[in-house]
Amino acid sequence: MDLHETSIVCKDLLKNELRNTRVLITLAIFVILSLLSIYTSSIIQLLTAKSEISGNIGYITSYLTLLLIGPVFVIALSYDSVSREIESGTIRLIIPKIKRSSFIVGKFIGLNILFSLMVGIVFMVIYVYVAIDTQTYLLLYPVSSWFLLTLYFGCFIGICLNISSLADNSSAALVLSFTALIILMIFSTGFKYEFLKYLTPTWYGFIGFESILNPKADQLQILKSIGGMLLLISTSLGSLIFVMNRRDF
Amino acid sequence: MNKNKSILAGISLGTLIVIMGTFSNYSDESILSLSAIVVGMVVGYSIESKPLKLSVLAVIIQQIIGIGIMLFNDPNLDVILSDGVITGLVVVVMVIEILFNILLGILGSFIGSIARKYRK
Repeated sequence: MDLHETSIVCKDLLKNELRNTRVLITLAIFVILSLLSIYTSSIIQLLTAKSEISGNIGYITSYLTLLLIGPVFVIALSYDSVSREIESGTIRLIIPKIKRSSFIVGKFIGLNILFSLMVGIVFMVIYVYVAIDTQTYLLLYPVSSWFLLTLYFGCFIGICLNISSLADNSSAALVLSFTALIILMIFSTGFKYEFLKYLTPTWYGFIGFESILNPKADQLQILKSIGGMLLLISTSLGSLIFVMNRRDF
Repeated sequence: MNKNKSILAGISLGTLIVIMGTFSNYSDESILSLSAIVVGMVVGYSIESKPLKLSVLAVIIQQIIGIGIMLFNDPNLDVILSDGVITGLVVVVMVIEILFNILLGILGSFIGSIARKYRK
């Protein structure tokens, strides 16, 4: 893998995605929905006694919203990032000039940067909102939530890119990505098979959330959460590189 | 392989797994899920065009047969059929089960089609 080639692919992806109207609309919906989730915190405040709540309730609702609806947006943006290139034939022009691993890692990093920026914007706005509303200026919650959600979306980007590079066409990639998402969400609840929840990013996202935002929770859970998600990302990246090196275009 | 033959092969293999699971007292749910994945893999491996759609069809047929076999061997069948409410609840649970197993069948079909592609 060449770092220079990877950065070229990454920049190219970011340029193309930010010029695309579909991508911009999807990202706008993503940010608006995440910000709207702050309003649910006002409802929770009305329902709960004032002594039980703290200033971080805005982060809790936004984190949970992003945890549940975020993967849908990840799929919407990344399901065709490799299959579209295969369908249009542009991959045949790119692959002889750069290494296959650089191509796929560049795509992965580009999409990760895009979602990291979006989550960063969301939590920056929430930080300002919470600071004005509750006079709380703690940076720990927004920064840790942003870091965990970046890792969390990285897991789903890896899964989507795997499916996208293996599927025959973009529509099959979309169907399979949503199928995989539903199965992962069901498995993360421990439904049917308890042990399978350890293979899902959602479960690691939830335990990370619990350890950050609940002071009474076991603080070692955060290491488990970060380690689990890093392991999932490295596994999906490894399989991506393997698939790209084996596949004929 | 012919489309009909591969669907039939998938359903037969899935039903065989269900029958073996029923006799060896394994958990019903896991056997049904495993058989759905196997049906999907067989259909995905042997059919080149539109394996996902055909695997959904094959999994639905196989799951209905499998649930039928399991209910037939269930010692509490009289209790289930005696009350309309219990029967209705069992049917709803089974429909949810079938929907979940269809998703597993689609993933199985994807794995099967990848195996066919990378075998060459």
